[in-house]
Amino acid sequence: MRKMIASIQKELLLLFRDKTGLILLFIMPAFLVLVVTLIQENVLKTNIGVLFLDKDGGEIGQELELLLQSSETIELIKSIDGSAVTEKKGNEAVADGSYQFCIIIPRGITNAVKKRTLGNVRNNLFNESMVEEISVPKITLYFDPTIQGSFKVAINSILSQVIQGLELKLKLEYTLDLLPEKIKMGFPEEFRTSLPENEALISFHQFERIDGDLIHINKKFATKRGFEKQPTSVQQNVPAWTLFGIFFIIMPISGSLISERETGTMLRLKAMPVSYFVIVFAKIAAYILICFGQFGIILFVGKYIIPLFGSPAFDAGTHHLAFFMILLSSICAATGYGILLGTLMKTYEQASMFGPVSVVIAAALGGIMVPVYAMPKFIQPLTILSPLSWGQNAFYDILLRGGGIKSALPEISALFLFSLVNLLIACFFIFYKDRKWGV
Amino acid sequence: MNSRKKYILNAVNISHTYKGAAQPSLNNVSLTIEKGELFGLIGPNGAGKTTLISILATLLRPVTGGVEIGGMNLRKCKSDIRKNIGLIPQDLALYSNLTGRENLYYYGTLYGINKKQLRKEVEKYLEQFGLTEKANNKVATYSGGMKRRINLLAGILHKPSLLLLDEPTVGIDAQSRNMIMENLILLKNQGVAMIYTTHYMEEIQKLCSRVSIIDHGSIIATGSPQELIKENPGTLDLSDLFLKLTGKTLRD
Repeated sequence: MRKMIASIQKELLLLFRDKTGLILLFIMPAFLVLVVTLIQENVLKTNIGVLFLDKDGGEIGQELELLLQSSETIELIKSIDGSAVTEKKGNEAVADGSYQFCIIIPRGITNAVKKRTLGNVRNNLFNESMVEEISVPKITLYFDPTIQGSFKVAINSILSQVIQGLELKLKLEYTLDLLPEKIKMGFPEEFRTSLPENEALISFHQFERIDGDLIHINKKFATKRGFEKQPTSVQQNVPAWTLFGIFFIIMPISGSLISERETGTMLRLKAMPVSYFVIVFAKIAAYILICFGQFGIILFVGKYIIPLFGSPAFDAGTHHLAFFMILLSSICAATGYGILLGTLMKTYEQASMFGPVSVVIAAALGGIMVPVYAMPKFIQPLTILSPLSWGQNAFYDILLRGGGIKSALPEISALFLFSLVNLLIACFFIFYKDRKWGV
Repeated sequence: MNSRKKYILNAVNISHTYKGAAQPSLNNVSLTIEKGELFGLIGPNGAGKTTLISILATLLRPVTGGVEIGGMNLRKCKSDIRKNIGLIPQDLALYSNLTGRENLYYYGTLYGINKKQLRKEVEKYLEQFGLTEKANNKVATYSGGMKRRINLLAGILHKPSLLLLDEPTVGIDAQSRNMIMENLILLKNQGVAMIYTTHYMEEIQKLCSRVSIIDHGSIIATGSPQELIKENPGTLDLSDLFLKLTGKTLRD
């Protein structure tokens, strides 16, 4: 036991002496969780600056401008560096990435839209064909080629929603204007003169008093067990990115094994009256302690720092045992993988390339970066291969789905098993290497 | 067997071949070392010195032959043998971010030395090797000579009966080399047997009562340096003899 404790102390001393390593181990994961959570939490909550040029200056352009301005997502910008937006300037500003979108309302749109709407309504009510053929007016939307699909979709959908609303309003307005005429036409000629004037019969303004939603969307979180608190995206992001941070522990672990091999200390240790397993398990124990310390800092950030930026505080829930077991099993999985990496990789350079890339792939596959349901269908079945996905699901089980230790048990078991399998493979390779050398 | 009392090491016909290698790295090597004897082992690069040291340090298993260290069979009593040997590897097998003292405490604990005894031994040896003043500095800040001295200390704290030294004075200044050699003589006088490999022939001539020259996995000569020089007319010293027996062809 003294040998084990001495080895743990040695590992911790080595870690605490390496200042850069300490920053990487403790500060970087906490910083990662803070930054990513705040970004994810506030995606689309910040106004996106959209260049706006109304070449028409008529009713439609003004109406569109008003409606777009009322959107919480968009901030209309009508000048660049003090001079008014032109189509050329707007295009250039978006092309060079200074702005991401530019909306151009073409000249004559008010006239064209009105004529088309009137023609359309007359055609519907009186079966009249349009007197003059007017082509569909086109609003131009320039967007930055680097813009991500989701943002493009969001802006496009806001614009479409505004246009549809405007279309509906215009159609209703014209329909109501022409409806009395249509109604009158249903009466015999002799009665028509005794009917009230169009405006008195029916007026668009009467319909303006109709307000309020006709259908309300009742948003509820589905649950089998009931929630003590409503889940927030902080509850999703903190555990997910904590797992990501924890798995980066593979770098110092594998690095320490490789360095012991390269400096010859491993050779000396192997010639000493101490089992190799004591050395490896001491390493695992030391890094488990480090990971818990790492998580302590992340928890502090989630509870006390994230709320300072206006996001809700992270709540670790009430299933403390389940939470602890998920954390422990995830840490064991990461340390086991680190030991395997340190055993298989010949040089630190190999480990420093393969290790982080493999964690990023596992995180991407595990749904840390993009939700599994949003992934392509052929990739979705592969998520089951990622231990980060098991950890994330287990955390979601207890933090978001209202589950306890029982519901997280399959994932916890899988993570412990993953750790064991990694260690067994590492043992096999250590044994294989020794056999190769004839031990 | 009488050897159990007299010899600390008795290796008989040991052979070893690395997997995939065409030639054996050791071929029927036999070696006996008496208690308190300082035994030199010299040979060109790739001759089999490190393989032999590795076998004696329990890091490699001989394919054939038997080894007894302190009367214990190498195959059967690996763990007990490890308590009785000290390995001073050619590499500086130290944790450079730990202090010299911390390195010694760590290795001493792994050898199972009790806390009180360990403290006593560490302070005694630090003083003896002129390292007390810098003992609390990180090894990374040490000079080459200091690192070599700490490297040696880490292998002798537990008072081994057999010390395996693989080029312990590589790349250090004359003063540090002299201190190491003086301390090895002290250890020899205390009854510690040593196998000393080096490329510095004058060290062998100064320290060792017997020497073996090994080449292509076989021992080609054994005896006291003086005897061997005498037996080979025309050789002035051990270096001459070494080149005469192993040739002048480069071994890379």
